Amino acid sequence: MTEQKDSKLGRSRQESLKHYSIPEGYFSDLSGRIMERIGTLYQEESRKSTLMLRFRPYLTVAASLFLLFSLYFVISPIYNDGRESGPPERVSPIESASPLASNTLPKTDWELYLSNRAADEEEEFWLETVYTP
Amino acid sequence: MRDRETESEFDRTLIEKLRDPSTREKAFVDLVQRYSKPLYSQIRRLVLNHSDCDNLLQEVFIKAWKGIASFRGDSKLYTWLYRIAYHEALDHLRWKQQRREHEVEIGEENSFLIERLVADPYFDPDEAELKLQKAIAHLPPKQRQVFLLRFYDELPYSEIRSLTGTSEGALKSSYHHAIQKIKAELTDEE
Repeated sequence: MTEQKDSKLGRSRQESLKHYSIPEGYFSDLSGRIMERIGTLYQEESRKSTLMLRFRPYLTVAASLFLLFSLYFVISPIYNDGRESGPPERVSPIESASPLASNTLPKTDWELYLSNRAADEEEEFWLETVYTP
Repeated sequence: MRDRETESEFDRTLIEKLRDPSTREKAFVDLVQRYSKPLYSQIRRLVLNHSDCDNLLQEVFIKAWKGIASFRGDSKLYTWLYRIAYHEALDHLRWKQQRREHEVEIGEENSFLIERLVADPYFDPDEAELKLQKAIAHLPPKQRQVFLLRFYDELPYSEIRSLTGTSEGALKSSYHHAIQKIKAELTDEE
């Protein structure tokens, strides 16, 4: 059978194989090297699982917060659906002016200046919208 | 026949030990010692270079270690290991070919194999051998696999069938085509 195959290709398997060699002692320490690699793999895996265990509480808290925020952003538009949508209502400047809107009297010069300015704007607003000569 | 019985007996005992955590490590060393040489030969014939072969052989045994729990024992232990080795080697060849196509111009299929072989310090350079390996490298994977098992290991088709899962008719046809292609390529080069 071998001779038949040899005659087909003009080359025997022995002739071919003799050109290849293996480092001396290669097979004697192969199992040791493989077991060492397996050991390293296990160490890496256990390190990863230890890290996972250590950070699991933080990850749980982060995930819960994320879930709460997500729920808030999902639910709040549903509750707001009942309200009328349209252009924002025109608000009196005096209502939005901080020192007066907070029901406190102006204490500093800056607050006084703001309240005077707000009063001027309120007057203009009243003249524009309410006053009819 | 007796060898086969011994082999299946050895496999059965080894599998039992591999499944038992207390004997697993020792049994795995036995497995490596028993099957490393034939697996090395199969991988070396596919990838040619010793260093590539060494890396792949270690990967094969690491995969075997990880997958031994899922080994059902339907086939022989060697058949299972051979299949891991063959697919590992094919993946390696595909990866090398793709990387080469990305890095340089698309060359002849598997021409990197010959370059790796020439660069291998564990190869005694010979022109006729290089021509033969070049012709083998040009074969499609299935034909190459059958040719290597038949030419180098002189395995009967029944055994090649159990290793590859291909019918004997298809194996004979693949081998015939492989021989024709190699002969044609060797004649053309002369």
